[in-house]
Amino acid sequence: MLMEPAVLVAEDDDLTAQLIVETLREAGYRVIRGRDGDEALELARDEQPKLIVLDLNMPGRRGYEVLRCALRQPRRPRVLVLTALGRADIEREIRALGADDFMRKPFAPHDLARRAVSLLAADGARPEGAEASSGLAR
Amino acid sequence: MILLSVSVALLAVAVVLLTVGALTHHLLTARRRRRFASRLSAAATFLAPHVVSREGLADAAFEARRRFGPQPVAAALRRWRSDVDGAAGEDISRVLVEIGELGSLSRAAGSRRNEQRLEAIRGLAEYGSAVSQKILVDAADADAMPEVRRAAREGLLSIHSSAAVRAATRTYMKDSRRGIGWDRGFFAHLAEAAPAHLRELIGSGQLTHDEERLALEALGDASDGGAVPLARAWLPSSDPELRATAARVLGKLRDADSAPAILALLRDPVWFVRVAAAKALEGLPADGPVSEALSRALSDPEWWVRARAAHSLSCCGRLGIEALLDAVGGSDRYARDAALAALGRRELPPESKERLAACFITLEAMVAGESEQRAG
Amino acid sequence: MDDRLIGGIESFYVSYFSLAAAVYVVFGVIALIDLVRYRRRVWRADLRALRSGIGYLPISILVPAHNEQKTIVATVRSILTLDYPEAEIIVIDDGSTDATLQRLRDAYALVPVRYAWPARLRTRPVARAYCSLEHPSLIVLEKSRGGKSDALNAGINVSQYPLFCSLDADSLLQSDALVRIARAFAEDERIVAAGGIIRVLNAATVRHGQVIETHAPRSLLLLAQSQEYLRGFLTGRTALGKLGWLLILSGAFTLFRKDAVIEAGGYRTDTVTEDMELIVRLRRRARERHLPQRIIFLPDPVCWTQIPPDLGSLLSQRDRWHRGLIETIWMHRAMFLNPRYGAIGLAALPFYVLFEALGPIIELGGYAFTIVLVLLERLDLAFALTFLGLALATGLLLSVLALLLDDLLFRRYETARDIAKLMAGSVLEFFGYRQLLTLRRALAVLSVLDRGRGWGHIRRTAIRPAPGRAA
Repeated sequence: MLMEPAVLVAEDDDLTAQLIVETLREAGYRVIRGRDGDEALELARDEQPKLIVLDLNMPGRRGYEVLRCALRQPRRPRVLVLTALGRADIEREIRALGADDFMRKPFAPHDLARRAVSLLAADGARPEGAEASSGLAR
Repeated sequence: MILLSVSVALLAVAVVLLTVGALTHHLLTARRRRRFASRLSAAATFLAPHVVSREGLADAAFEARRRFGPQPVAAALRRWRSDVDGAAGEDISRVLVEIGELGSLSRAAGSRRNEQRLEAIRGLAEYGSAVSQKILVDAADADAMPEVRRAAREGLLSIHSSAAVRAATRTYMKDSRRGIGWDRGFFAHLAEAAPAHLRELIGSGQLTHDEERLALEALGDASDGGAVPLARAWLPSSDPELRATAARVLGKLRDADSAPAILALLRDPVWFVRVAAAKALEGLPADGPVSEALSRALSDPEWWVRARAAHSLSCCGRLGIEALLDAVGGSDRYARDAALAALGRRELPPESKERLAACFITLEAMVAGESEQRAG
Repeated sequence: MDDRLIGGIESFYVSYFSLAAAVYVVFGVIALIDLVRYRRRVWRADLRALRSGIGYLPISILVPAHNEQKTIVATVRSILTLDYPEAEIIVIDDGSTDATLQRLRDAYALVPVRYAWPARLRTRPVARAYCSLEHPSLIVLEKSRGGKSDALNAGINVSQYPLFCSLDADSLLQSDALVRIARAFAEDERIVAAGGIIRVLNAATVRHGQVIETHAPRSLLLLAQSQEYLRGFLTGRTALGKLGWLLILSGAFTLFRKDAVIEAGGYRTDTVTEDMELIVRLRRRARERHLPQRIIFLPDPVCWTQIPPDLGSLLSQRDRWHRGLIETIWMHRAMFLNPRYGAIGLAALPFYVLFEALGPIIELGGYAFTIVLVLLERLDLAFALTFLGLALATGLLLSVLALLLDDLLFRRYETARDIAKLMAGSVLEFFGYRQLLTLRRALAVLSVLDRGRGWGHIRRTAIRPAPGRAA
């Protein structure tokens, strides 16, 4: 059984996804990628990631639905929403729905890594389980 | 007759040629597209680590060009440039210059063909980096095609330098195509990129009255807190349009300190000012005076004011929902209608839903009674 | 029969069809140039900016529905997943006698609301309005039957946004269709109406409310229609749009500026093709008041719609379209060849009258004439064959052009086999399909003329929508 925390990236644009995946890999996580809403949800169920980096603007099932479904998982993962949608009130809406953090595109890769680390560190700090994840050191 | 036959023959030949051309084009480009897509993906995989780590990107880019060809590498880098910000973004711009992309785009930017210039300027605009600034300024100033000018300005706006933004503004002000549509677009982009400059522009007096209003609205949409003093200054204006705009913008900016002034506007003689005030209160923190004033506005003679007041109340949290439910049970028919409409559009907490459902039952009975009375 | 008479008729037909061929070929060329240019103009950053909400205009999506219980829930669901920063959906249940409303109520948790709104357009009474507890942007109106125009007018009354889009209940919008079509409105305030392209849903694969791929249909009838749509939209509408001669945008998917439509009086309820009549009326008012106005066609927003799969419904659809065309032209006949109406009056209307409205009658006459000649043994075979060849060649030319453009811009049909099938379809179109349609349309002309006596009467008692607010 893998002890590294998994991060799920739900992003339909291949090139952007590659960058996000690479950023998170550099930070030391095991990354899996979903190309659309359905794939992302399937992966979320199978792999039980600790963090989901979610783009709201995906074809098929909308990002909101993915957000809602993901948050209903038994071990609720952290969710970082990364989106190009720039409406002023969207951040409020998304946080109200339960997302843990919010970033706009264009984004700075090191910023993304930093936030991912802090979200996952917050989890690791909880005295819940023995999941001493090696990747969190960075 | 001869003419007819000849034209038929010519048409037939044209058809055959076009068919063959179409099918071959399709087959060839399909393969070409697939090849390009796979190369693009491979180049991206190769370069991604360097982009993220910010080490050795230039060398990697040259190596990638050798392996996968110049176009896929350039395409990947350009796509990333529009997704990525900050230091990593600047890296990408620098590398794009080093691999010669700037050169080829700059040459194309001087082309005589409109479409080529447009594509080149757009490519340069996506860099958003200072190296393309000079070309963009020239294009924004003097290019014959309005779309090129627009694209150049947007490129300038995405360069986070004061000089670039000033150039964009300057070229816009003297552009012959200025008008409501372009104003709205330009101000929206400027408000996002450099709100301070837009504020300056408003204060400079170069804009017409209508343009000033559009500009202020754009600042409100972009949530620019610095616009608050400007908007406040317009609140007591004698022009109702300005008062309305000021109220709307202060609402969007959620300026709680303006609440008393906006509450006063709820009693303004001009109807659309009252509407704007009611809408503005949607964003402000709900407290006693606000929900009281909005509840009173539910009985306003103007339908739009009632509707807006009801909607704002529904956004005021529990206090607002309570006020609306009270109105539903009340005797003022107009207030009741407005309240119901607003309640219908919110996701309500369970206990409010129950109370609302109960209201509906009594309401149906009440309405049935009323219409019976009227009929009988 | 007199030789000269025969010669005269022959010359007439030659000139008519040569002129028609020339006009359509010119359209094809204009379309080719325009579309190739257009492809380069659509900028990713523009679309991205619009999606992110910079400089957009919010849209009210109106969906008139009558007895659509089978598809309405899926339709609304697919609209809810559309990619647009701010939009509301107004479904107007136009006196459905089946479970349409019930299905909606169950699926979207509708609650009845005592909703008051300013009735700027007069419509049949709306019994009640429903809001959805789960989707604040969904409103459903329950009204007495009044027809599609009436339903749309009711929707316009209730809508709160400056743009509205009329969408058929059996159509599926591509997720970025609204973003693409609204782009034009944000930048150019002269635009009052814009239409996108309609594609055939019958042959498409749908997953989660989105079309993921399409093939050339199997059935001959669908194949011929697909080809016809492709040709009509990519070559015909594009060229007409470029020239400023557009009088028809598809009723299945058009975006309008609400103020302009209300000012013109809304949709008319006494015509069969209300969308065309509205466009013509908008143009007319703009001319009469010297307002700068543009009505455009954009090839990139896509709407997928169900087309008639069997001959019966196809023929009645074409019959309705043709009757509507003639009715509309007749209603606005004051514009015909009237310099006051500029290009519309002097060029667009005559084009529609000569080639679209009267075309079937003339063509039918041509067939009849040919038969007469055969009976009289005066038929010049060479002439007849060249004639047929000309018609076939022109049609094929346009079809191939359309396929080429489609490939260049959209690459919808991925395999060469599909393209070959479509090509075959456009050839077979000429042997049977076209003739049937021509016959039906010619009959439509006759039926319209037959009722002509009653027209003046109908026009005078037509329901004129009341201007101004009623609140």
